[in-house]
Amino acid sequence: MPEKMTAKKEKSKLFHVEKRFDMPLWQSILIRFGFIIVALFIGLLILTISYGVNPFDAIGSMFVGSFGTEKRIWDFLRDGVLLLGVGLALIPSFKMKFWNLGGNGQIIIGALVSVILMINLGGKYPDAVVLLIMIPSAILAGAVWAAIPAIFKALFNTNESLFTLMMNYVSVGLVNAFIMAKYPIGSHVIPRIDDAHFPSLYNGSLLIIIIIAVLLGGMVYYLKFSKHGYELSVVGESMNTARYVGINVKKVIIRTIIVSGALCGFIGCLLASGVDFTVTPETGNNMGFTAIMAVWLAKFNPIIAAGTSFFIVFITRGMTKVQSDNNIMNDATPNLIIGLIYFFIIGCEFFVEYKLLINKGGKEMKITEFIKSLFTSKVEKVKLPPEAEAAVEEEEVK
Amino acid sequence: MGNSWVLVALIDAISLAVIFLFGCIGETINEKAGNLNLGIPGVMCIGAAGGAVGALVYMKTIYQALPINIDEISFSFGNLVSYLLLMLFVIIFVAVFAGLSGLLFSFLTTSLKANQNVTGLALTTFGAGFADFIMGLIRTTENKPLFTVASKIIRFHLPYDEVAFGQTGTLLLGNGLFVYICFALAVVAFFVLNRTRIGLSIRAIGENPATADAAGINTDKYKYIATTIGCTIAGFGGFFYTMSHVGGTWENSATLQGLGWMVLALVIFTVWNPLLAIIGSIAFGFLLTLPYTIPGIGFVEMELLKIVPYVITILVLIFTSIIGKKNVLPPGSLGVNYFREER
Amino acid sequence: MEISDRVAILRKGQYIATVKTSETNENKLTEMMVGKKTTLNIDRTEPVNVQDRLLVEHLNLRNIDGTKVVNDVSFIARSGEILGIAGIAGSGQRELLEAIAGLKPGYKGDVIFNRPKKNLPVSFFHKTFREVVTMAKNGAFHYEDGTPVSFAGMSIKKIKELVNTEKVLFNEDEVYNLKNLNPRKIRELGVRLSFVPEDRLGMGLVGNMDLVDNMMLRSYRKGKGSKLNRKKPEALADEIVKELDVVTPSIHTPVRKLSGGNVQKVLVGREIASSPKVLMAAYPVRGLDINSSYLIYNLLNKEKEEGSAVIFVGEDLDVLLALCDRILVMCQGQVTGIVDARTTTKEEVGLLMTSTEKEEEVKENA
Repeated sequence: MPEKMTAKKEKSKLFHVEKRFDMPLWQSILIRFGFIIVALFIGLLILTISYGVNPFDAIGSMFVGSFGTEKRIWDFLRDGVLLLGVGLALIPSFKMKFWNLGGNGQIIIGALVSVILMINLGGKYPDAVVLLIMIPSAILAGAVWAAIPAIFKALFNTNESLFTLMMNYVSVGLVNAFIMAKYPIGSHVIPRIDDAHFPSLYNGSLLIIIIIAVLLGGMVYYLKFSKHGYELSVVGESMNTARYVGINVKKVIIRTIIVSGALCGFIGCLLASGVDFTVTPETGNNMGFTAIMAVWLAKFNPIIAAGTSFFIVFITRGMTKVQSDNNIMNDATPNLIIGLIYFFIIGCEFFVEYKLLINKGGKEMKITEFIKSLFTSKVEKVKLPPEAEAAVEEEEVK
Repeated sequence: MGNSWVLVALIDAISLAVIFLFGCIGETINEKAGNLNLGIPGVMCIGAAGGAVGALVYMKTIYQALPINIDEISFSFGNLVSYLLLMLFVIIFVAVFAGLSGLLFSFLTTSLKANQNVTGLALTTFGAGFADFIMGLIRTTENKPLFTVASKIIRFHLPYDEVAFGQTGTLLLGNGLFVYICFALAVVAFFVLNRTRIGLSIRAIGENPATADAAGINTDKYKYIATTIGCTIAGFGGFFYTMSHVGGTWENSATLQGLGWMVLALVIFTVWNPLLAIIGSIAFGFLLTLPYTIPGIGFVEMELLKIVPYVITILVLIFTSIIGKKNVLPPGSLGVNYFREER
Repeated sequence: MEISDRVAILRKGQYIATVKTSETNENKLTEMMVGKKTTLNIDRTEPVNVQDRLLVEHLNLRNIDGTKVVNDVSFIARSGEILGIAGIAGSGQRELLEAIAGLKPGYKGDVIFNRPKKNLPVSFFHKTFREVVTMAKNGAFHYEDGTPVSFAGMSIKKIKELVNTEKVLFNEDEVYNLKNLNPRKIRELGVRLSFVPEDRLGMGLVGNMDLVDNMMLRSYRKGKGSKLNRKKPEALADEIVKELDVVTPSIHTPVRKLSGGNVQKVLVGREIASSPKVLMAAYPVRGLDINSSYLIYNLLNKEKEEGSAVIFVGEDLDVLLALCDRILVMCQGQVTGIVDARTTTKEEVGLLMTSTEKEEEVKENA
């Protein structure tokens, strides 16, 4: 047997990816925050290059956009809280790994049902009565809209992303059909309905804020302290484990998605009767999608979702203000910047979850060590007397 | 040949079908490799933007030197060169724009191991915003007519006798070069996916990446290849929408986004088969244009008819999942990222 | 030890030494593998008070492709005994246990849980006075010494006094057919059947949840109302960490962060916490370090001594022979033989593991 075996010269990889075991909370927050700042910086850079925007003015505008006047502050709070509301509706669904992309449709169907009731019953009956009928109806509508895809997912494992997505378009179509049926002549828009408004506390927004705050508390309880919440977590984390303990997975899926849709329907009712006083194909303003990003950023934690929702609203309102301040005729500005921020945050998750090691000269080391090694000069190996050399070697082997 | 409204609908349907088909071929390749790319609507928007930029560059440079008279197109050498250059510019720009977005998606999901659904949604948001932004930038009042001209050139078709063939002629020939490119691409895609080595590798990593990896297939490399090529092809769908279907105009990204979501449904509808995609795209195109072309249709009926394609998609979704037979099931590891160390 | 010429030892990713097999023994190797002197042995006790507890009759299970993965399996698991199941990987052992646990609905055959209960005191919590008197008339009750109870001629006061001082006893047989009941229904019947599955983090536990929430997996439904009660699971988690020496930063650490041996300790700890009457474990020491493995064996032994019927599917024949009382051997989904672990040999078991012909036929052809 040959004593020496010559190993083939192997091409070793330059980068090696390793999953991180743990990371202190402050570090992960710092990384995420850093990436957001970089994204904003690049976004402002793009604006500066294409439209000559002054970046410092822009940052100021962003704050003015949300906090400049009292009305702005209330609108900011209301928009943030509505986005949070949709997010709360979607969290149970996503925790169960059910990709409910149909938030928009569930909101719209709730709004549609509300508006139909507002038009037909409003003025004929006292507001309170109409509201009492309207709210459960909208909730039911949203629940049904979500239940249909959920049932097929539970029974036949039908792809829920596309099913819920298609339901969005169906709901928009129904709204259009209704508008055409009711208002065939003219601008094809339902004029502002004056009856059966949501009760208004101080101004239109305060009651909504309070309602969503209550919803937030309710969702925290539901997810962390209730038996339902526990079951849905188990189903979402590990379906095998759920079956192992005898949880009825089908029932849990359907039940959770119904909750999701019901809440969206409620938000639709809030929009129809408390904010827009009408319904359009754009009701909800695409919150069904934006909320997905908001809750994903919050790692599906309801309380953190409040923060991310307000953050997204802040950026959106801010960018809109920057755009109008600089007379940029380009309505796409907020979406572009937000999309950019999304990408950066998605990308930064990688650095939180995994460690990147560089292979230099056969030895793997962390990036920071690598950079350090570029700057330190090679230290000459000192010649030691043979006994000391042996002692050093023994130390190394141990 | 009479002016049957069916023919009119079909002509429009073919135009839509091309958009769908490009997108469908692209996303089929994506999904065969295991990537559920919810960013396809965004990619198509980015492709549209790319095409618009390419057309504008051409118009501002080559066209100045070699103008083509769009009303009286003659087969002169200069015109041919100009036409080919337009095609070249447009193809390169679309490929670069859409390809880069595919690369981005691939990078985020394959190398950075980000969740595919979220990345796709971000890509759609960004892509739509990007396209709106670029269009807003370049579609200045002075530039707008340039796009109309470029669009006419792109839609140039071989001449046929209007009197003798009328609408049928328009149907078969009237939509320009890209229609044929598109159909041919579908056949090529089918062939490559199902009969070549590279197609086998792609399908393998989509079904079971762990096994493919163990067999020595470089999963990362093929995911990158499949996604980038797939997104590039899909991008042409967006380009065709803006520079052909709507004749060089651009309102906002909403319509194209809507078509993009339907592409995702179409992939399932055609059970990941590019050949069936040809038929499926035409069918969807027809369904989509029907509400607008049935003579004497009432407003309400029109809106309700617009829902039909989506309902049919839902029915297809349900149907294929009930059957559950192997050849109509999605690729085994669709939507799941592969991380070797976790095996 | 049997086939190598030299042995290289690795510990925690580091190379320790290479020794000649002829110059070493198991104890020395174990010491190098673990890092300190350890005595590892299995104390097998004689089964006491053995009763038929779980009767599996003609269990047949097909998988999705239609092939029979469990083929006409019948056996009896007894209380106070460890029944080992041996077989080449993929002989149906795992599916057999999953079917018994209620995880494979639609199997054919019967799984009968039998637990005769003796000397239970009758109480007025469960039965009315009239019911008690009727049952006594029918001879249902007896005293501690065995003499039958008759209330004839007794005053109502005397009858009530006898019952309330738990002097009136009866026997009851708990017999249930577990066929096609899911795990929750099995628990609701009162049958304490625990199952330690092969897939720890993928089935037995939820990796992203902490120890407390994992303790709740079987018991979260207890209590009225919608609110979860985490007090008892917290106490259980503390107890398991203490008793089984689980290395973890806290009981609120997600279990996926624990090392393999500790994960298994948490899982096994939970499954035996409910004092199961039947405990099934599929490859419970796979991938574990040697200390944890022996701890698990000792836990199984303890359960056996407390009267559980233990079913143990294992890979290591030496362990099976040392730990179990009887060994059931499976091959290609069928039972090829049930042998006494104390008198059988590795050769006999090995032969059974690789043949589908019954024992007698093999002997005939030999």
